Amino acid sequence: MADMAGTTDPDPAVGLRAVRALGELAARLERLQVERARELGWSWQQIADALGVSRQAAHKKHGGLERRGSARQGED
Amino acid sequence: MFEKFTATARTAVTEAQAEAHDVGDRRIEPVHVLGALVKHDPADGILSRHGVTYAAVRAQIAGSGDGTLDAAALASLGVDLDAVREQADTTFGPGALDRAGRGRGHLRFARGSKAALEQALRATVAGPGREIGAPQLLAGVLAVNDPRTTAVIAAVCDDPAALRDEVARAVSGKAA
Repeated sequence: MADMAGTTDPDPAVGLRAVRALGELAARLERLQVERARELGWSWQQIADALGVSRQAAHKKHGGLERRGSARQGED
Repeated sequence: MFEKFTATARTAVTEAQAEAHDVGDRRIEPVHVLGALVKHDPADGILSRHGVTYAAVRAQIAGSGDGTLDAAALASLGVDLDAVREQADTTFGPGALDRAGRGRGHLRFARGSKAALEQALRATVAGPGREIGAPQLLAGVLAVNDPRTTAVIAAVCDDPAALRDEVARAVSGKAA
């Protein structure tokens, strides 16, 4: 396991790794929040406004959440 | 080509997808094939004899993939992953953060995994048998020198060279 001495490390590898971890964390939290908002009855427009993206973008990125669970075999 | 696989090897190839899914990886990599293989410890226990157990491999895979939440990297930015996890559990239910990172749907085989299957076929053709079994599949996974697989084996196995030797012997049909 890496230690935390890399906090101020100028090595791009360390910095990029931190950025990647932050991105992954943000992506997961976004997914959970969108799921919950939909369950609470939020419209795609409301979610998009909150995220600062277009309705189409929000729906394209997260709309699959509601279709999942039904047949999704062989999609790619 | 697939019909030449033994039931054990076929199971491992199939279950590799679940291994990738479980840790949130987006491709089926050789290391997931290794994970699925070691789960049933086929190949006459070669893997477990060298310390390569399912629990050990799983622990390593979970900490090395693209679906991993890197606690140390986050801490370097002042983000306390444990605290975030606790909040997420409270709001979204237990294990929410891990669930959100898990892959969904059908995963493709990474190039390295396809190469490993080719090498497994090659090992079979070169050996005495006609079926691609667990030892041949294992040989294939080792042959492609996938960095993640190499790192996982180095972390859990005390003597990777001896493991390779023993796999090579098993594949060539000579007793250990």
